[in-house]
Amino acid sequence: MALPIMGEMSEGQRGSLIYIMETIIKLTNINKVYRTEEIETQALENVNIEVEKGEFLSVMGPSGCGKSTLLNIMGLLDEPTSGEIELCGTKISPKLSDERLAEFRNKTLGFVFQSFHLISSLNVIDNVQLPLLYRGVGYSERIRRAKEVIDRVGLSHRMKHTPVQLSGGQCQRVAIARAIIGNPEIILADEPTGNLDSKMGADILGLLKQLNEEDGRTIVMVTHNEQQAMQTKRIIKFLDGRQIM
Amino acid sequence: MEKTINKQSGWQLPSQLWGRGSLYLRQAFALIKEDKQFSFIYIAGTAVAIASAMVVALVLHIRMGNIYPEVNRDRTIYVGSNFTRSDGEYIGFSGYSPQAVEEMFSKLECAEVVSAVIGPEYVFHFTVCKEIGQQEVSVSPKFTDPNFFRLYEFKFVEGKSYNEKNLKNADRCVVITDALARKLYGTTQGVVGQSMQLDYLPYRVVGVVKEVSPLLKDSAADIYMPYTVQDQWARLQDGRVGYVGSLEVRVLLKKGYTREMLMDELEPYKAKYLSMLKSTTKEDWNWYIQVRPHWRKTLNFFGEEVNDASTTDLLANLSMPALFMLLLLLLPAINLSGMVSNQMEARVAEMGIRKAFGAKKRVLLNEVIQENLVLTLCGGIVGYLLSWLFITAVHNSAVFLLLFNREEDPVENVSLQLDMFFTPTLFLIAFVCCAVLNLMAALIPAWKSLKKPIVESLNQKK
Repeated sequence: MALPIMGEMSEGQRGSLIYIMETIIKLTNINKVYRTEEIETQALENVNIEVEKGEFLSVMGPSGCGKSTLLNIMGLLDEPTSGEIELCGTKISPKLSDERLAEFRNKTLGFVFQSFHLISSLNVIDNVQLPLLYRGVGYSERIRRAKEVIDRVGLSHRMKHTPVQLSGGQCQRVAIARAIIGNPEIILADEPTGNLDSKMGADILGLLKQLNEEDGRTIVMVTHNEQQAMQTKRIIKFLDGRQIM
Repeated sequence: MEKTINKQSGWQLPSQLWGRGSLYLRQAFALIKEDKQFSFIYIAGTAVAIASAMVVALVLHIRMGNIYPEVNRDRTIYVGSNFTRSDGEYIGFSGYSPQAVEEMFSKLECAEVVSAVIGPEYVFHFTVCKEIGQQEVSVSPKFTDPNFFRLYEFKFVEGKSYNEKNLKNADRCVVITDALARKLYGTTQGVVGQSMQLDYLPYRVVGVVKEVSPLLKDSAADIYMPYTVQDQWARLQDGRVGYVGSLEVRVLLKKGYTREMLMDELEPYKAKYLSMLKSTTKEDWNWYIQVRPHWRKTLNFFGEEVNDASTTDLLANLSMPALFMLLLLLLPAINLSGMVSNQMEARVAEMGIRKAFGAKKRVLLNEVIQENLVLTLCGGIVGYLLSWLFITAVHNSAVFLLLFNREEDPVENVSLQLDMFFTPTLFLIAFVCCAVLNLMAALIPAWKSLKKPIVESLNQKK
């Protein structure tokens, strides 16, 4: 666990007298190489990133620069070729079993994807309760919590609808509800507004900001949209697998 | 603080199981609705596979299960005997005499009921009519003692069975089935006391029983009479020595007693009979008391030894039809597995999402197999009904009767009863068939799909 230190205040933190910094994501010397028989592609090269608890970080860069790969590695969805990952003070050993990784993801991380990734055969409430189902939470508690978060994203009237009956913005709200139902410390959002029009995109960003400011959740968001990135607390930029800013 | 009940891998509370189960069910039905063509073909394929396996199970059940009136087949023993020469050459088989029934069987410690019946080789069809000159009906008779109606639990619609006195006196009295009563008298009520002509001799009806399906060869007949009224009865005993005769002996074991205990009780009579035989015929033969449980009479894949020292047991014999049923399920399972594989390919992204949110592989595997089981069970129900329809359609055919050894003793119309088809045992067999088929069809495609890395799964296009 990082020592509490005085840190630089961002806009959102202004007004607090003292802000205690705590590193929640720490990537050290991360490399990711994709190998085929003919070609070797370095997707990430010596990446070192620290994210403090309560940060809202944007990751920017052109297509193919390694942003999504970085997010996948942060989210334990993919393994780095080399380097160390530390999440919430826990070093993630490469030897950790799939089962332990699944448990860790379930309790610590929430994901929001560009294409929503909702399960089409399940309705809103069933989609949202999935993380709790896999945590072993009882039925009534799952339903209570699902209703609570669906209400929070403003979709109480759509609980029994399936994803095909919802607009893009509504789907992304459902995805956000699913990401937060397990009360994870970290939310990883991979271009969450990429498939939405500007108004819906602004709504979704507003929701994410609200989660960051009101709940103090740490959010790492990959985006192409500079305007949206400007609204987050910190921006890092990538080019050809390297962090350039 | 959230209320976590337990981990995925631990024991589960009923409410949690229900919650998870109902979600799987909803998902399964949503998938059925989502891809109707897949569901239809899958259910139809499963139904045909289950139907073919269930036909085998149904035939076996009718041959071996506890069905009216043979509701104690698991405790019923059929006792015969075999002769060999001293060099082991087989001479023949035989039944027992009334003397043997009295001396050997009437005081058995392990027997609840002992019944003697004239063997089928001495019984032929008769014609009966209400009165001479009226319409004649061909009937299949059985010549029994009164205990026959205790060993097999007949349901009496009216009256009761003949008694020991009737047997001793060779009284011409009969028990008939309700079906025959309707044919002869147009009713099943008020039939007791009525007379009938059987091969032009007058008989009196003393009881009416619910009809037995001819597929139950040991108990089925249209008409039952004391074996002493058999016109050849006296002749059947001629030339027989001591215990040997024309009676088949059937023993209903007391609960907790075994075939081996019965064999032990009968063993002393073997030496006694052999000495009787030797003193009468001067032949040095061997005589073996053959003690066969009901199942061995109907299911014998490994042959039978004359001295009845066969070591094959019920499970070994059952393994053969079980293997056949498995083969019947295997081919459709390969086809269904291909279909599930395609469906899983379309659900790869979904599996990736579930894994991203913390689902473990084995939980997902379990989930996919349970969802698939819903489809398989739908197919199973259709298959079960199909097998019933199939048997109902072919039950009078010669090939079908061959399965019940009725080819030499054909019957006009084979009646079927519902309790032959809808029993807990058959439901259990059908469920096991479904579960096996489901595992064969879904396990490998589901496992292959779940092995894919999460990122690859998430990026898979539908």
